[in-house]
Amino acid sequence: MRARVVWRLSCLSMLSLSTLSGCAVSPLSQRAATFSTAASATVVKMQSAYQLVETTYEEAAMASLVNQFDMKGFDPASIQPFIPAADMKARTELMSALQQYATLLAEVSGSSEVTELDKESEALGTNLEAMAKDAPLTALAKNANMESGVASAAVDALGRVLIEKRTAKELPSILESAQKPIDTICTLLGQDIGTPEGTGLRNELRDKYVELIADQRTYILANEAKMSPDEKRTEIGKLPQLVTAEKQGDATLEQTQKALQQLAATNDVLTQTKKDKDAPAFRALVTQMVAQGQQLGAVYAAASAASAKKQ
Amino acid sequence: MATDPAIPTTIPTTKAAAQALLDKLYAANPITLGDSEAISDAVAEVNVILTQLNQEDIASRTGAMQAVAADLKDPVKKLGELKDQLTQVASRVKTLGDIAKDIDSVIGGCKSVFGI
Repeated sequence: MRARVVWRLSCLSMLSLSTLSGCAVSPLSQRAATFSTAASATVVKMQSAYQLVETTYEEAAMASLVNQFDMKGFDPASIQPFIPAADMKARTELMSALQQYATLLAEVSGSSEVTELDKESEALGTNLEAMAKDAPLTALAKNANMESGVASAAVDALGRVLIEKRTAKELPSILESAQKPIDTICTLLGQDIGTPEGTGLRNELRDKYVELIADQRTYILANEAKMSPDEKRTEIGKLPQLVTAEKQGDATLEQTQKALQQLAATNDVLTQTKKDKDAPAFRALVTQMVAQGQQLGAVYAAASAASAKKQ
Repeated sequence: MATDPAIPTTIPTTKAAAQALLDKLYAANPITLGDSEAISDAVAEVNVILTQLNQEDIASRTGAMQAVAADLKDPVKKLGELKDQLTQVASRVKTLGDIAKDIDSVIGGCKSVFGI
């Protein structure tokens, strides 16, 4: 008799548990959590990628300044970062916003504990609302050939999404509200990266390396008579290193650009499948997004290793 | 008979001419100090011109032309001064081709667009 009661209670509790877990983790929540993890990892790599391109460029520019000392002296004003601090801040904040959006999705889909996330979201949302009126965002939009009003509206809208208090049942409305701003921000950052032959950061990076390579060749020819064979060998060896650094910097930016496109496309499909139980299109895209993130990680690691080797 | 490249009359075409000139200078492989110096100097000036044109191009898309004409005067003048020297370099470095015409195209574009 007692055994039968225990068995019945066990069945009941198992049923309750499965019902509860079924309610707590809907298919959409599961997908949002998967997207959140992939998006978070990708954005971290993007931030590192920008930093690496900047560091590599600065190292090359410093070496060039040292080489030119005998011919041109030293002008402190010539020490310029590849991306000025204020312009970089605009890009960093937009990437932080993408990161916080991913965190918000994890929070409302129940895969992350609600701790200080609300406060972080609120603070970042407020920053974004302020940033929507800032000059660096306008400059970034212009560089990306985008109407500054469009960029400003997207940043402001995402800021509002992050500020509002959210619960799990609001996940579909969060996705809907954030879809367009996320698309616009990813497009903005992607167009800002540009192409090597045309516009944007990739073009600027290429042209700057052309100058560094020309200067290094002139330095060798101007000083070769005074160099030992080993010194000459070292200086000549820097020429292919500069070519490699430029190619790796460009590849890092290109992969970042592709990762941004993938993030936006996956977020679009996630939003479109909010009522679906199964979403094969989303699964395919999120798999591609993870692969894209890994590819960016690999390009970043190669560029990082090359940079460390030079030091 | 090759025809002279038309002088650009807009910012994008002037920018394209400057980018083409920079690419040509990059492809050159000088082996003497004098030639290398001339190419390095020209690369630096074309890069300054490109930076100014980029800023102006960005500003013009929003209808707010900046006063970059003053900033362009110096690099345009220096590039002009390098023309004879680079023409001589081109007699030894064949990839430079008719570099004088390319330089004229960039200088002419800057002058026609900004009235320098």
